[in-house]
Amino acid sequence: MSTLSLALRNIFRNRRRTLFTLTAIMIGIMALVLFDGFVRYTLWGLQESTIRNGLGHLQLATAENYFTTGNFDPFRYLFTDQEEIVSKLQALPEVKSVVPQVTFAATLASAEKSGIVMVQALPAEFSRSLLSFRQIVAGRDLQAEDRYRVVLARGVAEKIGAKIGDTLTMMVITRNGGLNAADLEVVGIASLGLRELDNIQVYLDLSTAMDFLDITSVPLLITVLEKTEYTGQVKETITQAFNGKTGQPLVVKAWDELADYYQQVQGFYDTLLQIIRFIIMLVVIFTIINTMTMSVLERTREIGALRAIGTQQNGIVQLFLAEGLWIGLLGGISGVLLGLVVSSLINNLFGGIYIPPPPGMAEGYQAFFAPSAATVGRNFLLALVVAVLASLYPAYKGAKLKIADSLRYL
Amino acid sequence: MMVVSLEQVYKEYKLGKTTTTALNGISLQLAEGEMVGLMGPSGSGKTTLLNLMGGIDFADRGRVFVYEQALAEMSDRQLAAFRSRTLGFIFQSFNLIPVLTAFENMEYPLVLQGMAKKERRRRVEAMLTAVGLTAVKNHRPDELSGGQRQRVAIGRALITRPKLVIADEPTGNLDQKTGKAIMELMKQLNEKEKTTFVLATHDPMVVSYTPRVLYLRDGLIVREEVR
Repeated sequence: MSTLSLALRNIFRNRRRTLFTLTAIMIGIMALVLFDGFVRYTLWGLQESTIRNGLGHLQLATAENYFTTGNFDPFRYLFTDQEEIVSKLQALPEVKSVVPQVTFAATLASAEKSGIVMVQALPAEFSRSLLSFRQIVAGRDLQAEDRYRVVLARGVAEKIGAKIGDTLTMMVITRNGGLNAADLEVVGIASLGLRELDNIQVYLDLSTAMDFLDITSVPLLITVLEKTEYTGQVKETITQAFNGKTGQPLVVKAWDELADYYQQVQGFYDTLLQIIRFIIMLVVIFTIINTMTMSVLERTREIGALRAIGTQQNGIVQLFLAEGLWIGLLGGISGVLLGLVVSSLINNLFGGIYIPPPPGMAEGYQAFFAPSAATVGRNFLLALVVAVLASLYPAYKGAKLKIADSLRYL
Repeated sequence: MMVVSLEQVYKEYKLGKTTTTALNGISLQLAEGEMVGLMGPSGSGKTTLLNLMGGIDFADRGRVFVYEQALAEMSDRQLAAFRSRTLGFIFQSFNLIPVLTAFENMEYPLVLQGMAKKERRRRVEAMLTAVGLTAVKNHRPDELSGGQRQRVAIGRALITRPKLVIADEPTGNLDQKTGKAIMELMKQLNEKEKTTFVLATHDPMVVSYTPRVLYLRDGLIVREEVR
């Protein structure tokens, strides 16, 4: 008969108390599994929307400065050997598409109002794949033959009072320093999810933009990969393959280096998760300490008898730690299972839960729970470690009892 | 060789503001193979004396030696090993482990000694037969009668073949017939293995088996009978 089997029998001596303790751990771990799953889904959603809202997985430019000030001076950073770089990138198996893009600031005016906008111009055939999280809320998206037609973000349309079919005038400073103006027909209005983008973004077909700006190449190549997981590895490949082999310097940025908002949200959720984990674990710790202390008190005579027949102090410590281990194991397993069952029920039976628009977002979303094996494993391990740690003090107290006093205890 | 030796041992207990003298300067020597009865009214110091001999309590003054080793100078680890290998304890109120069966309760001290499973089983089965509990070996203490529990406790104390057995009212919960059977078992062990027994009791039947009887009152040996 081992310490573990003796401990297992001991924890079921007071069934009701053990059940309450296990329930507390189970609910705590379930809550962590659910919250981990919620955060994981939300961050995944934000990651994919960030990538498909025009950022792509990797961005290639000719200078570091392009990523900070390039939108206001795109001409300085134009590729000189664009065709060669594009064909090399397209040869990589992980690369889904390479999208040339130019982004620039312009003034957009209706008959009554005008405002500064940020123009994102890419070949219209890539709009759906690269801007797939963008929702056309009125009219239609740009098509390949849509020369001098424009799609406005909802906030921009509202600010300058434009609707489908209106003609707007766009003004821009060209490569040679001259002022160019063009009339553009509004064919669509889009919602971008992020409020800050909704108020400034405008979309043109790349050929219109190049014509309009009087350029023959672009300053930015956006690479979309087959899967987001490939990002790091492809960045490494590109950096090594192109380093010093192109006429211009080449700077490669991964999507997460460019997505400040994503980083902030991730940091926020990480902190929140840690605070919640800390609070839940504190509740679990005190529940277990209470249970184990009661157990030591109730079994004072028994501890005295065990010691009198030759059990070492260590043996008593090991016995109570083993009881804590069992409580953590059973509570952890049931908590993880309950968390997975509840996640699956909410996802499949109720179709997720509706989350109102978070700060900075234009629209709410349907959240699902996507707990990963890693987070589930981490929460389970946490239950084990916390249960054993919480048993340390009661176990020590039990081991330090004076034998003769324990045997007299009523 | 002296198994137990006490030199001018004093022990007091404090309960709130009251101090009770349990042992008041006792000196005593027990030789190997002795079977000694301790008699005296409640509160005379019998249990305290047994606790000091077993190394589960310590004297305020004076010295206690067991096999010429001063118990007060031993570490907790050494004391636990001493209790496991040299000593057998029989408690007045059984003190069995409630979650273990009669078999497992008896087996436990052998597990502590690290004995192989096969040898443990052989010894436990033999002890169960000796104390007449084979039929209830898989019962837990709460499924046993008072007498059966006491027999499990006795079996647990004797199973390691200790050199010194300390028993506090060993037959207190047994009927006359079972009590006698248990005392016969102890006598056999005493004669065959030279096991030393110290038995605190109120039962004249028990002291009829002990050639030496010490009478305690107010923490002192007031009379000694050697038959």
